[in-house]
Amino acid sequence: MTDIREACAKTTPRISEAEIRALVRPDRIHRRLYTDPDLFDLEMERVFGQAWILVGHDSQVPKPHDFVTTRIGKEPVIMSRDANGAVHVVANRCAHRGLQVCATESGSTRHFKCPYHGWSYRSDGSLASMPNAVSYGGRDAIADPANGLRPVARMAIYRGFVFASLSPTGPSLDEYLNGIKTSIDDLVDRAPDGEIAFVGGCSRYIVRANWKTQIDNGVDLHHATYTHVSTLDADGRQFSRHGGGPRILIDGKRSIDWEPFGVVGFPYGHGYQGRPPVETLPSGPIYEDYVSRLVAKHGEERTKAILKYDRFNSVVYPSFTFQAFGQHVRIVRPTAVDKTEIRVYPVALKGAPEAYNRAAIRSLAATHSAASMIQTDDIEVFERAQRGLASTSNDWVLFAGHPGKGEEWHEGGWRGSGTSEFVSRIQYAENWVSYMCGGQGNAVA
Amino acid sequence: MLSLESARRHDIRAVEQFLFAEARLLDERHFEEWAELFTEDGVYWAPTRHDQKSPEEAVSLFYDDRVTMAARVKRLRHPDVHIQIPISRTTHLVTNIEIDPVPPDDADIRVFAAFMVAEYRENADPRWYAGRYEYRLKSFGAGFRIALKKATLVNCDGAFTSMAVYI
Repeated sequence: MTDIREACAKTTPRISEAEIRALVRPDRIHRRLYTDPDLFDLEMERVFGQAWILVGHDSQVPKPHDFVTTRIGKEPVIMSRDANGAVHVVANRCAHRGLQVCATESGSTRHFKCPYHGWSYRSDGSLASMPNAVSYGGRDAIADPANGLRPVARMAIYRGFVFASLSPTGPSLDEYLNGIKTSIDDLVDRAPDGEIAFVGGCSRYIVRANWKTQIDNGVDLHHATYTHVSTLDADGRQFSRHGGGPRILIDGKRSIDWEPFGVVGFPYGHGYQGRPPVETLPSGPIYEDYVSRLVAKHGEERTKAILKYDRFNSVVYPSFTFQAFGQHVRIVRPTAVDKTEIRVYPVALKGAPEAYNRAAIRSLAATHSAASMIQTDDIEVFERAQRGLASTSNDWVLFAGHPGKGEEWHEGGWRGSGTSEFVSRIQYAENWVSYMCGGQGNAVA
Repeated sequence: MLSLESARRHDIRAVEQFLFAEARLLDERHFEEWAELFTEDGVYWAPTRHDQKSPEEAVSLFYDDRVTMAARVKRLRHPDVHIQIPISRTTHLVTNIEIDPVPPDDADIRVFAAFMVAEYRENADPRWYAGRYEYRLKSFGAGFRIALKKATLVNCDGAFTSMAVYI
């Protein structure tokens, strides 16, 4: 069984390894990475089929038998909680004729029943019953794991974030996340109870551009001055939930100097932007209530460390970005070479005042919905990039700013100047090429 | 059938004319004048759930009080608002207009309507939106002011390409 699966699992790519390697240079990538449908298909198999991909958060399935459906690359999956409380990620695919056994986004059920011939699966994915089982060999057929909903090759959870890898081999999740765990901790530690939850639904938008445009952008501070110029007030500050946002322009026209704020990058292509220029920190009675709850749990000293605001956007390559301060997680779901769906989940900090978490849900309408004022700037530039890259006048997309990786960073990885493009260089030259040639990422040349 | 007394108190033709004029202000991109139709505490809201009760229960596509509305309208006039280069041309169709015979406490009049909106930007495919409006109106002089315009798209829980202008 295993042999057959392995023999048939990988398609023979229409693109040779030598050709793939020629598409990426240390400081630039070929435009085909954004425009070639064959490369996209291979990415779904070899990047999204190998790396640890964020499936969701275990708070999306709080009770036994709760489920959500999603995709890992092109593969439809179900994340569910079984009768005993364990989380599973299984293929949304009947073992009999291949139907999706679950057609809804989320819900709760003891059995996923295939509409075709009634094969019925438990919330852990195992086969519970099959009509006319005797024709398939009776009890033995029902007990055969091969007749269940197939679990993903590997699943692991870090602080409620549920990851899956479709490959049985590769680095552990711990090794894979390495230094970016500090960003996940930075988000989750802000909850007085030390746990977060995805609440308040999900804001979904479609970008008519390649998925990597969103990932590139997640570690790009420099674009804000130009992409988001229309969101600035007379003072050169950007719209913010807490009042005056980051100051991006000085004297109404000159860009602030991004360099001192820095960008941090880690092996496997993760990274974060340093905190942008002085932003009004929250205040008022609800915030004070929130802080007092942290203090009650952790004391003054630790609370101060938790509330330290030293980073803006974080990226976990290749499947999501998030903001601790903006209280949301954005999952990147590639759909086609020129189409990507982004799902934005508001994050509740457990133990924080209800009103504090509710304000975070409300504020996403202005910043990160399909109709928001800030995200639509980004979507427009991603789509403009996709259209411009149809040009054959120039094959290369540059990530050449600030050569080198910068200084070694105490969280692991490196810290570069604010406009350095080194994190993208790690993503492409050390990871994308490795995955696409059948490797497991983090192949430092 | 509930009493139609309240509905009779307000002239359906006057309400219709107000909604048509409001839609025309959007279609003609008179965003500042359009915003002036709202009461000081008025809100424009496009939820992501069909039965959504509040903008804090779940995320919204739009939730603009007058302050946010002013920021959005100012942005729409910015020379570098990339999402409006080229601009959106829209046509709002407002139909199936009913006056709620039993208005809620916080409005003089509640109006239900159905809408379709066509949007076109040069060099892009036309886009269509459909759904239902709920208006809460207050009498203002001889006319009305909007305390709430809630636009619930038929596919409000789906994924959308960028929306730059009000539906």
